[in-house]
Amino acid sequence: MLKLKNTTKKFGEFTAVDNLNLDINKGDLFGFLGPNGSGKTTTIKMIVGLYDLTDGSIFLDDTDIKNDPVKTKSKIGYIPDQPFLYDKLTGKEYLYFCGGLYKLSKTHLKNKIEELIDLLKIEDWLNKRTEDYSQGMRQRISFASAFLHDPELIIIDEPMIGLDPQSAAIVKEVLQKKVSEGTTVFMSTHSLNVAEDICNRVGILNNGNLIYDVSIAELKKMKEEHNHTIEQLFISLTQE
Amino acid sequence: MSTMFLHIIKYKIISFINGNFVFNKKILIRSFASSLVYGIFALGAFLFTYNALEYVLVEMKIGQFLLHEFISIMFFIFFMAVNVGNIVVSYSTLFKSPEVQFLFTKPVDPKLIFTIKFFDNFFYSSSTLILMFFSVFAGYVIYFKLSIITFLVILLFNILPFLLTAGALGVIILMVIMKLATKIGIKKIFFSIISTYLILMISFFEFTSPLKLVKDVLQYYPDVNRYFTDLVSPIITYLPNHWLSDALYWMVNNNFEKAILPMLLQIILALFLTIIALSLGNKWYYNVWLISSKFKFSNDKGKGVFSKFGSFDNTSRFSGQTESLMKKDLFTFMRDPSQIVHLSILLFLILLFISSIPSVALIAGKNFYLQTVVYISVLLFNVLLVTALSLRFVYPLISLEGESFWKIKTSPISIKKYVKLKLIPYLISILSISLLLSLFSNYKFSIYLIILSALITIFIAISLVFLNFGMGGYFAIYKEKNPIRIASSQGATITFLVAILYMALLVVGLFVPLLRYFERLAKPGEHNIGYLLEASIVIGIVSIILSIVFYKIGLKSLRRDF
Repeated sequence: MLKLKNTTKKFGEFTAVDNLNLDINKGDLFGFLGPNGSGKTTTIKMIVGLYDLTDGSIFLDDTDIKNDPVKTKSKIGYIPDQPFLYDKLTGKEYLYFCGGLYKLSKTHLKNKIEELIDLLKIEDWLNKRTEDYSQGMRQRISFASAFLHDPELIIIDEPMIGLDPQSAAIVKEVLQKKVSEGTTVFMSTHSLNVAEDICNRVGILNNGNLIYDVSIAELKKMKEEHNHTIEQLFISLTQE
Repeated sequence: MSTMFLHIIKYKIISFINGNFVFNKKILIRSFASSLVYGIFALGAFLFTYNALEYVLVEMKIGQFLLHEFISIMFFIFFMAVNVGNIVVSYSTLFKSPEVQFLFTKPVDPKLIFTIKFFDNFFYSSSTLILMFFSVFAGYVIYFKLSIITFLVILLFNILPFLLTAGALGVIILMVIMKLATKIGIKKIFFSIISTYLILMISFFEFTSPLKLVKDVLQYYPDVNRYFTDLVSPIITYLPNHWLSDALYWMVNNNFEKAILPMLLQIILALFLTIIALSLGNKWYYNVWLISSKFKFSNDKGKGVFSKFGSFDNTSRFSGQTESLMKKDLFTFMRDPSQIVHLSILLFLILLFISSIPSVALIAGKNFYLQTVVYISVLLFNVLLVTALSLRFVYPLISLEGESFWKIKTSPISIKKYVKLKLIPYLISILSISLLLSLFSNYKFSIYLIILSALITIFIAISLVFLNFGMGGYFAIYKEKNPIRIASSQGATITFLVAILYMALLVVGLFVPLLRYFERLAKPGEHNIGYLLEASIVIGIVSIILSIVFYKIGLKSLRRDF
């Protein structure tokens, strides 16, 4: 479904992502792991169109995102690591605003918002301006805005940052539900336990290079073979 | 306390140097271009002041008293603008800045934080103004053959305290607003302040009618250089703008003794207000800062005049993307007090201009040279207002998307459509205001000149909107949330200077054709508009080229990495 071919991103002399090749299948819940500064966010920003590619290409369902950005963006739901929202809008207005960008009808939006209120438990704050929201509230509204148009591919950058355990549990549950409905999820995370809990495949990025691309079963097997915790395994893999 | 003060200042300087003196190719080119524009502007301001003084004193023979009264009027308007701007900018600097939040978590005395932010705010907002005054007063000093010492005295003891008065008064008003707002609500305070400012502006022009002043002084022609004490309203003599122009008048007339008193008053007032501002800060700052997060300009749901018309869940005849973007912009604009305050003030100034300017046309009489100058002056003033509107409201458009811009950038909307939807409301509003301005300020001229002015204003308004959009995109600062700070940033200053250069070209392009037109007009039956037509075609072409260039710059900047 999502294919990265020799994708490279340079900032001046510095290479943030180096010749990255990845193939994400439909229905995957892909965990994108790596230490700080390994290039995870840069890769995600290239996929969603926030960064231009220095070299290589990215395809979504065989469409090059550079050739038809509007078409590919309509299939993606993106949740950034820092959920900046338009401060002066209420949560509800923000969701209507986002729905409009995806050309959703008012009736569809109304029903969808009702559905997401239940799913993400956001009803209490929906009529307050987002400038008053906590990080967790912002994150949940950000999730809701990404689900409005039923995207085929959900891309999440660090979904658990700033979330309390209750919100984190909701997010995990929602992502699993989406995958069970056939949605593909591409998720970068620092939380190795989250990756182990919900992903079916993980890729490990280090210094802009993909050093591992394995199924979660294979990762667990490696963990057992080395008699490591997941953190120990991650550290040994990224230090090699 | 002083060690801590120096410690913080040291790191502020280091961060300023790190942020502004990074030597890479792109920044060097940008800095060179900025310096070039600044340099051209400084030279232009110098030459303009010199020639304008020569014209009004030698050609128009208005005399030194009238000249300095006009300077006083200009400085009053300027004082009000700086003062209001300072209230809004200080709010952001003193109450919304992440730096203040950071310092409050450290063992730093709030009084010290207030003092640092007070001067930080003053120097940030005044640096461009000081540069402008430097060039303008260089022209002034050279024209009147004053010494370099006098020049420094004017800058340090007349202009600087004047700016400090405007800034300190702004901070005092802000502190009082914040303190009272906890008791009677921010909305009531806000509207009371606006009303007070409007009453002050109207009262000032009641006491100082430029036209009446001209008539009164010219009665004494040719003895127009002396000081007409009786013609100045006693109330006006208590204002700092009048002290400033008074001191200049006496210095120009080599009577330095008489210049000392107004300058002394200026300095005393500036010091007094600075001390009051710092004392209020010492007393109230931390407590007010703690409760400032509770202040809201309007309620959570945003139920107001626009809520019924603009509610997001209402059905609309527009497409989803159009409706979403326009409503988002409208709501964001209407819920930001700084936008509303500045828009009200600018619209008020425009109304004031519209109501007083047509009579200026009568000053020219039958003198075709004077007619040309009056016509161009009125046109330039129109353009200046349109420039101010565009700089204040169009330039910050892209920056104000802020860090939330990721949502639009990752949505299935093409950049061209986004730009179109973003610009159309501003283009329509600014074009309408420009046309109104043009028609009202020119209706005492001939029909050809009314049409010419309308045409030129349309061309210029369009190109100014695109200039501000393009430059605003190129110099976008997504982390800054305050539109006034964005509109007074380095990029905005360069944009303003480019607009001023454009105006200078306009004068060059129009002067001769207009002069010829007025010359012919003086002869019965001759109405040759060929010159005017040629000039407007040239201006039209230049404006279209500029609009396309800056539109492309804007588009390109939106395609940059976010």
